[in-house]
Amino acid sequence: MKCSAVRRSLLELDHDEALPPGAAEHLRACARCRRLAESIRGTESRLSAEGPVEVELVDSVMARIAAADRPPHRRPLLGGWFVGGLLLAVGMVAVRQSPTFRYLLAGVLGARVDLAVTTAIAVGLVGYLAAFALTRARKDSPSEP
Amino acid sequence: MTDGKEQDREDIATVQSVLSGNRNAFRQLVLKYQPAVSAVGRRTLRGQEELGDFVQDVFVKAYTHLDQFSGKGRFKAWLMQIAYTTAINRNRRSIPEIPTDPELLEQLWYSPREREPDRVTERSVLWEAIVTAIRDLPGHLALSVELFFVLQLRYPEIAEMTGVPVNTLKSHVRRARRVLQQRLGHSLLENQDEM
Repeated sequence: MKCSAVRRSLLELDHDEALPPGAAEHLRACARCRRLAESIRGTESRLSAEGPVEVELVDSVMARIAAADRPPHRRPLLGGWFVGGLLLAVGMVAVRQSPTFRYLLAGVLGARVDLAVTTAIAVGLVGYLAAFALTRARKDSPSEP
Repeated sequence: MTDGKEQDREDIATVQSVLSGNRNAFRQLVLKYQPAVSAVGRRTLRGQEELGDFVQDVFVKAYTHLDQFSGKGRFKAWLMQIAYTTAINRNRRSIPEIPTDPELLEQLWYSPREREPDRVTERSVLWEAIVTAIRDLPGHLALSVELFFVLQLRYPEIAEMTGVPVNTLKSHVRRARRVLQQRLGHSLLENQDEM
């Protein structure tokens, strides 16, 4: 690799990015390009704003978090949703198959009981699906909360 | 001293600890990144009197939305994005114009305790070169170049944060580095001997 190409790589290099193999090899042989690489690294470490920590500010942040007393949200895992849905479905089937339900169904108010239970099951299902959709729809990105 | 990747792993472990209910673990992250969040506030807010409130806001937002940090990128970049968005929201979605005085720009980026006289002189030379390279750029692009140098954020992280395309940012960083190195006397950049 020629000096000009290596210099261009050096001037464009990202933090923690490795040099292209040809450029790294060139640096081993060319003292001037190596000095430039060292100079870039040294210059940029002098520009970094890393401290000092303002402990009073840190304390006030932690005090505000404690005052809010609100634990960070934790999104339930997909597996949890699956198990929850499965339990809900089994529960619904069990209700409809239960002797009590069959007994009520055979009685005078059978049609109304059937309607009430079916409505409750439908509301439960829709609610569960809506909760799932709302929770999963939250962006998994670093955008500002 | 730990390297960058080790620090990133430590941050992810700390985040997991906080999410498991250890609220006090969050203090480690505040201790580590308060200077950087304060620096973003000093550079971007119009009213400096609200700096403490800004820093608190940024960390409280990060804490309450910690589950949204996927762990795929760096915690530092995620936090800086919250800081950046919080700052521009406070400024009614605008970035202050870049100060043309390198000394003023330097005062904005570094806390008073970081500005010992000898360090100021040494850094002033560097800031003069950077200001020369970014003087004519629009506010958000100039700030992107500054973020690269001062907070050591990577190209894709800054691109996601400010919306500046990676290649545009790269070419301005190249220009700034070239001016910096020329000011430091690197004749290499004048292009003579080729190997």
